[in-house]
Amino acid sequence: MTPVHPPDERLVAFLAGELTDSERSDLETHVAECPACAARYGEFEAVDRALTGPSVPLAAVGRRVRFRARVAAARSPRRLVVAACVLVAVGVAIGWIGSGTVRPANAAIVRQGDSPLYMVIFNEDPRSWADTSAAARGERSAAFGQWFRSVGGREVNLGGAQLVRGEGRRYGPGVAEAAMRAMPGSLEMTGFIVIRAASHDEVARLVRRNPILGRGGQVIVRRLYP
Amino acid sequence: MLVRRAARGDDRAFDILAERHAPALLRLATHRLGGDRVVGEEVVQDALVRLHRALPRFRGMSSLRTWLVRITLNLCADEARRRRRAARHVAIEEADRHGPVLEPGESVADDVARVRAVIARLPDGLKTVIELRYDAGLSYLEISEVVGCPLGTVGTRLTTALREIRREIALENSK
Repeated sequence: MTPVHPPDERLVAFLAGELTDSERSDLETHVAECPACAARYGEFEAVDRALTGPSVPLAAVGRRVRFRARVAAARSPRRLVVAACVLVAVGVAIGWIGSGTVRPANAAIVRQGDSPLYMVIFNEDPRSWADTSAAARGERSAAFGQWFRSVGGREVNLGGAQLVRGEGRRYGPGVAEAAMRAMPGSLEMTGFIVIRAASHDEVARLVRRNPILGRGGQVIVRRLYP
Repeated sequence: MLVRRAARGDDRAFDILAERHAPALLRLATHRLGGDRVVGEEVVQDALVRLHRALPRFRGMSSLRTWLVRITLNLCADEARRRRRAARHVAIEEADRHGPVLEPGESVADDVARVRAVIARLPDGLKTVIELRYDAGLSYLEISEVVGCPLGTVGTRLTTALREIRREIALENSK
């Protein structure tokens, strides 16, 4: 009796785990006894193996997503007014508003057809500020201010650490806590700006010069809109 | 049920769901976007943010996995359209047409990049089935739901795609 060779579709279904137990058993028996089918199977199996890549770990993705989802939910018009008040207060406290390039956040920052908006988040070890002298802190602030002015000529909105600490709770329950937990390692969010730029690469070029990168801090850039 | 717990606001349940599905979605998005893992991660996060918003309304008409895969494919298509419009970054079409530069004479199984380069040149129907099977890890039934084709067609397309990859690699090796 001439053996019935399984079609390629059957070999591929075997590799994909789509056969029933009895179908799998029949195919295994045939391939073990038929060199021609074993060769065909081997070729499909080699491609299958090359395509079955290792798993890619994505640490804490759930927490990051929840954080983003809640911030987005909190960005309702009424809450934007509250956010604007907080940002103005922060900006005045830091002393940046009035430099000519800085404006407080407002509900009109997202406009259809504009260049994308990017949020540039600064993460630092908060102890690195507590452990330094007032003079050193002043130098740091000056260096940051110098970098900040170098992004001039753009529409920029800014925020400080207070936004996600005490004042952050105004955005809704759990947001401040989520913001803190979302940051990796010992770094905490100490501030952010929202900036309009033509591309992610353009923002990346700007943030590479930010002084906090030179002292172990971290800057995260996220596209906000569109 | 994790979905029900997450829909009720159980953060731990949502974390488990996100971490369970994110790796496959990232593989899918990254390959779909011509190997751009950074944007791939953004796409996956966007897809999961949409899930977070939609959970209270999620009726379970389709499996969560196929729902997320559909959203991810749509977001990848949006991103590709946005790139074409803006004409910035490396054009995905270029990467798709040419793929990485390959050295001939290496074995199929040892060189994932060569196989990926062949996939990039496959017709979209075959490429999508390969990505859904190997990147997203979908079953034939799930692929048929996402693509909207009969179950038998999934098997035929997958076999045709693997045969084509095998043939192209053999051709390269013989040069």
